[in-house]
Formats: sequence, structure tokens, C-alpha cells
Amino acid sequence: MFDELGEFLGSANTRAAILGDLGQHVYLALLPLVVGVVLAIAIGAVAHRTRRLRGFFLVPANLIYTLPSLALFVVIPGIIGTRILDPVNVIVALSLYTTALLIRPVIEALDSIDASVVAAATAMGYRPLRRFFAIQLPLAVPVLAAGVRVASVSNISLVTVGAIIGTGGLGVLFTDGFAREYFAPIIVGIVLTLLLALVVDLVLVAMRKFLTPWQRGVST
Amino acid sequence: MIGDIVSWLGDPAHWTGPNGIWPRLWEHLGFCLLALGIATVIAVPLGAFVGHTGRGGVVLVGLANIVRALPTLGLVTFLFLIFTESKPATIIGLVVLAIPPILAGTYSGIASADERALDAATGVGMTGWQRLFQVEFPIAIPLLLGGIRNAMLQLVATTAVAAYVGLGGLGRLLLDGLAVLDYPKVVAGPCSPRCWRWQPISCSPGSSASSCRTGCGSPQPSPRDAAWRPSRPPRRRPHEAQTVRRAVRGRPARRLR
Amino acid sequence: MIEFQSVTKRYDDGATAVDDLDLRVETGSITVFVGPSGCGKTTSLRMVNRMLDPTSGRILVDGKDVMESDPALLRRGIGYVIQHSGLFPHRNVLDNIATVPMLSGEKKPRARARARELLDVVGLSEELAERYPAQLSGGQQQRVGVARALAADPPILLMDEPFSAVDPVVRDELQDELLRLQAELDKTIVFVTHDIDEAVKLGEKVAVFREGGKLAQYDEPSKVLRQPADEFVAGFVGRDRGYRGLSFVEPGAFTLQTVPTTRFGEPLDGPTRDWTLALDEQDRPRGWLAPGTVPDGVVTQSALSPNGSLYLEGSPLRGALDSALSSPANFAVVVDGEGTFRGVVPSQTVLETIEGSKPERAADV
Repeated sequence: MFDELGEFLGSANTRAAILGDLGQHVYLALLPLVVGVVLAIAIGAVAHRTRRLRGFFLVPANLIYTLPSLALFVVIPGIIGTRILDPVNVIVALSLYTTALLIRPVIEALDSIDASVVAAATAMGYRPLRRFFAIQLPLAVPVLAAGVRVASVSNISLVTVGAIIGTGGLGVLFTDGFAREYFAPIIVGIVLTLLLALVVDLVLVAMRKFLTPWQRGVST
Repeated sequence: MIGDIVSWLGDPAHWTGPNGIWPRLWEHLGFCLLALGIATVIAVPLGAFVGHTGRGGVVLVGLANIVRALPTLGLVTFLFLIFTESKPATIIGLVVLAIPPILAGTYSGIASADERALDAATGVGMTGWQRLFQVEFPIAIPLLLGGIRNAMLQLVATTAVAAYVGLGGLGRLLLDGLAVLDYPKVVAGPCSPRCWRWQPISCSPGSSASSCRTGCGSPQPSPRDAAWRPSRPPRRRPHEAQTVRRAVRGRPARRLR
Repeated sequence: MIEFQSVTKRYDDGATAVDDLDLRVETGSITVFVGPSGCGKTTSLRMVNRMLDPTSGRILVDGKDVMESDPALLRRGIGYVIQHSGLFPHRNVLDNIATVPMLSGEKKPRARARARELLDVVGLSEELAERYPAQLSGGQQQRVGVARALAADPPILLMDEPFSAVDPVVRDELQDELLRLQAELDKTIVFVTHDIDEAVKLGEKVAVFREGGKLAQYDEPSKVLRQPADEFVAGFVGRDRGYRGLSFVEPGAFTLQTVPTTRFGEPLDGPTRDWTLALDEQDRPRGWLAPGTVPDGVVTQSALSPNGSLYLEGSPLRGALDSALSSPANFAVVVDGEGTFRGVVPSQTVLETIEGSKPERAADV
């Protein structure tokens, strides 16, 4: 198995192709992450306000997350009218997943903020929009970050499924290895996916640290 | 499109035939439940051990995270190449994916037991086993069930992917429909398995699984290969050259085209 | 000046939080709203800066109906301090204090410079400037909360149970600090508490609220203690209000009496017949000589029975009681501001005076 691996990685063309796949994978996984985070924050901010709105957004969010990814990849072109092999399908599907996955953490993060802090902000004369961005959102980061980490790992793993419907990313290595009964690309694909998940996770942890300087040295 | 879907679903032939929705649904559920059962048998005692003794919690969480990042498709194709048969490969793959949520649920459930309740249990003279079964397990049940539910959700989704390596189930419908761009068929796939609200199911996993050996485990080409294979970019040539070399060395590559 | 004119606040569920409140808070005074929980005191406070809007009635701040003001702008002009400080955990001390000036468009360096000055005003060290709230003690957090409320130099300060979450010793300190600050700054302060002691200590006027959001009594604290308007106030003020009454100054309550005195460090003239007070050169009391003490050289500390506490003339009755009870001779020893001996009051007289100042309605309780 190892000489197969050496052989596989020995070719400069293969390495370039893998690098291309990796780049595509990063794009397909992280763009939806960003879109999902933004959407989930917007929806969560609205849903946070009343109990009824919460149910209105949370129930469909839970349902979306139970849909099999493959099914979503395949159905989305029929709904939004893209070609079936278009990478946009994967991006839309994963954005949906990310949003669905993050709405609850966003609401929980906003709930986790001490009500007296928000009341104090209002009493200082903050208007609601500015209060949200200056006070509530920064304070939501610690709880939110945990959700974003889960979503990033999930996205990075799910992008590979897209290879079945022909979009790029590291999943191509799996379909390829499967079609040729060839271990090397599959192993490389698994290792790179895991590494990518790890690196992105570390980046997210670093970002969280950077965004929450007030939590350093405080046991919370 | 909606009309197409309704009329496709309305055709009884699409429900009962050998590649109909019902057999596929039973297959799908069968695989899910089989994997869930095996995973539960492995994960619950393990999680209980870790939660009860408090040893290995860190390792367990780390492992669970790694498995969460493990790409389903990669795992399934990898196992398929090892077993060269779709059933054991996918079952093992599914079990591997189902273990972490159940493990985590059991572990956190057991670990969530109130220290004072445990103290009291020891105080009234319970042995370790009695404490586990009479105190810790009952307390752990809500979180444990939550873990099993999560595992089942993941299984339903992943089993669809497993159709790629020739397993039956509803994923088959997806891929077949995708191959001929038969939209209603594709939609029927994801919409039917409301598996997460599972009820007692009378079908036995083994029998349903055995009735589904089709697809790319067999030597003859299936239409879906024609549909997705050409979409791959031409830069795949270096691999293909190597595959040819491998074929020359003796073992024929499983090229379906 | 803040004026409540027939203010009623009813919640959606029909509960009346504040019922027809008429009340006037004078400029430059501390007014305390006190009452059990659910009596509408906090609701009343929160209507002043429109954290809540009244169902009916008007609230005027300096003659202007608050409903005519933009809520955000109104709030920036009114300082607000709450329980648990409500500090922003993600901003350091300086930026917390600088919040309102920055909101009003002040440049950051200026706002911070002003914040730094305020640290000193509320008795915090400069070193704390860069700390985050979680790194401060409860008392320090409350001080920062007060500084933040003062940052834009608002004429009005609303304080909602600001000291109730800190321990009693720190609370006492913070109360003293607030009184000191108020003497300098002369703000119009509305202070909400459920603690009658705190109300009595801080308030120039006290408004006692009862369940259902009714104002039971609005008066000077001594009046509230001595002449509770009704059963409810009497009950709320509590059985030990007689003792609390000792906190009030009784101008000219006592007729001072004299006792034999002798000079500390000099010989006695002869054996003492009564309790004799030894004074030093500045006429400050040093201690008592028991009756029948025989001269034995000069009067030294070892010959004296310790004095107990001294009662500063014009200070609350409580001091007189202390002094009388701690004196071996059963006299409260009265001194003036310099510590000079002024006279004595027999403990019997002190007790009778306290009896006389008891609330009239004491028998009802």
C-alpha cells in the first residue's frame, strides 16, 4: 500500500491536481461557512427576540439538517435552476446546512449574555442596531465559536460527497480511487480532509482568542 | 416539476417493483438499524466504562472529533476496496460513523450523574455494578437516547451516500435518477425516509439487505457511471496511466467503462 | 427636577406595576424608592429614562415630558447604575467608563482621558484602567459602574439597587462614597433599594412603595421611621425601628449635667466621694475614678476605670446610648468636636429620651 502511495504522489501532475482539488475543497467548504455564519447571525438576531419567532425558524432549521447531503446536492439544481454538476449546488446546500446548524447556537449565544449588560447598554443610550453590533455580537462570540467549529468540520467532510455528483474538491480522489480500485488517492483524500479540518479548526480557535481578549486569564 | 414528482410517486410501479420505493426504503432502514444496533452494542458499554471510571475521557472526545471530520465517502470507498464487497464495507463504515454520537451521549449521560446521588448510592451499600445499573444508567438515559437519535440521523444520510459503492437503499434512487436526470425519482429518495421518527419496524435487516445486490459491485456497467464519469476533468490522466500499469502487473483494475 | 404626574404602568397580563404615582424629586437631592419586591419601585425608576413607558400619566424631567424625547438621546443624558454593575465584559475599565461620551460622538482619546479622571473621582486606582470587568472585585465593579454613569456628567443619576449584590462591609463603604460624591457633585439622584437601612442612610427623602405599585409614604426618613403613615409602612420599617430612630440627631435633646472632675497626672485633693472624671490639660476625658478612691500620688492611667465611648455633642442618639451603656459610672460622657469635655448625661436620662422619641404608633405593632 505504501509503495502505491509513493508512486501516486511521485507524479508532479498528480500533486498539482491534488493541490487543485484541495483549493477547490477549501473554497467549497469555507464560502458556505461564511455565508452560513452571516445568515445565521441575521436570522438568529431576529429569532432571538420572541418565543414564537424562535419556533418559526428553529423547526425548519432542524428539518433541513436532517436531510441527507447527497439528496440536497441533487435536488437543489431542480429548485434554483442551476445545472446539475454546477459547484453552486454544493455551495448553496452547504450554506443551508451551515445556517440551519448555526441558528440554534446563535440564539443560545445571544441568550447567554447577561440580561443586565444588555439593559445597561440600552440605558446608556444605545439604539438597537448599534447595541447588537457593539455589545451583543462581540459577547456572543465564545458560544458562537463552538458552533462555527462544528459547522466547519461538518462542511469540510460533506464537500467530499459532492464528488458523487461531479463537483470538485478532495472527494474526487475518492470517486477516482474507487473507480480504479486504487487505495492511494483515497488515503491521500482522507488524510488531506482530516488535516484541512484540523487546520481550519486551529484557525478558528485562534480567531476566537483574538476576538475575545477579555476572556484571557479569566476562568469562565 | 412538482407535477412530475406527484405523477412519478403516483405510479404504483415505482413503489413495488424490484427497484421501487418500498424495497429501497426497507433496505435503507435495514442498513441503518443494523449499523445502529452494532454501534450501540459497542458504544454504550464503552461510554459507560469511561463515564463510570472517569478514565480516558480526553482520548474519547478527541477520537469522536476526528471521526466527525472523517469524510464519509472516503471511508466507505476505502473500506470497499479492502472488502471488495459493498455490504461489509458499508456496514463497517456506518458503524464507525454511528459510534461517536452514541459514545458521547452515553459518556456525558453517565458523567452527568450528580456526585451526591453517587455518594448516596455508595452510602446505602451498592456495589459498583449496582450503582452503574440502578443509578447512573437511569440518569444517563435522556442523553443516551439523544446520542442514539443523532447517530440515526447521520446513518440515514450516510446510507444514501453508500449507494455509491453499490449498496441499495434510497441512495440508489438518487443515483439512478441522477444518471438519467429523472427528477421525480431523485426527490422521492430524500423525501421518504422520515427515519428519525422511527417506529418499531418489523422487517429484519438481514433479509432486506440481501435482496439488493446491484450496481457497481457487479461487473456490468450501470447507467449512472455513464452519467457522472465524463464530468471528471481530463487532468486525471496521470492516474489513468498508473492504473493501466497496475493492470499490466496482473490485477485487472476495476474499470467499468 | 423629576415629576411623576398620575403615572400608572400596567403590563400586558393586566398586572398593575405602578398605580397612579404622584411624586416630585427635587433637584440636587437623593430620593430613595424603597419597598418589598414587586412594589413598582424599579418600574417607576425605569420609566424615567424610558426603559419602560407609562400606560398613563406623565413624567417630566426639568419640566419636559420624557415621552417627547428620543429615548436614546434621553438616556445618554441620564446616568444609570444597576445591580451587578451591568459592565460590558468585553471592554476594559476605561472603555466602559467612556461608553456614553463615545456614543455621543466624543473622540476616543478625549473620552478616555475623561474616563481616567473619573477613576480617581470614584476612588479607583489608575492601575485598573486596562483591566476587564471580570478581573475586578464586586465593589470595584460597582465603582466603575458609577464612574460610567457619571462620564457624560448627567444632571440626573438613576441607581437601581446598585449595592445590593456586594457584601455588607463593601456596601457600607460604597454608601459613604456615594454620600461624599453627592456632596461634591450635587446630582439629582433617584436610588432604588429594598433595604430600609440603606434608604434611611442615603435618602434625603424616602418613598415607601407597597405591593400593587402604590406609594405608601413619601417623607423625610426620620418621619417615615417615627410616624409611619399606616400599618404597611410600620410593618415594613420593622420592629426595631426604635433603634433605627437612634440614628437621628436630636438637637438639644439633653440637658448636660456636671460631675466632679480632677486633673490627670496631678495628685488628688482627697478621697473621692462620687464617680470622678479625670481630664487631661486640654480638658479631654481620660477615665473615671471610682467613689472612695484614696489619694496615692498623682492620678495615673492604672488608677482609672476606662471611659467607654464618648458621645459627640449633636450626633445621633445611638452614640449617647453607647456611651451611657459603656461607662462604668452610668454617665454618657459628652464632648465637642475637639474632644473637650462638655458634661455628662445620666444613662437614665438617655433611656428616657429614647423612650420619648419612639414612634407614636409603636403600640400598634
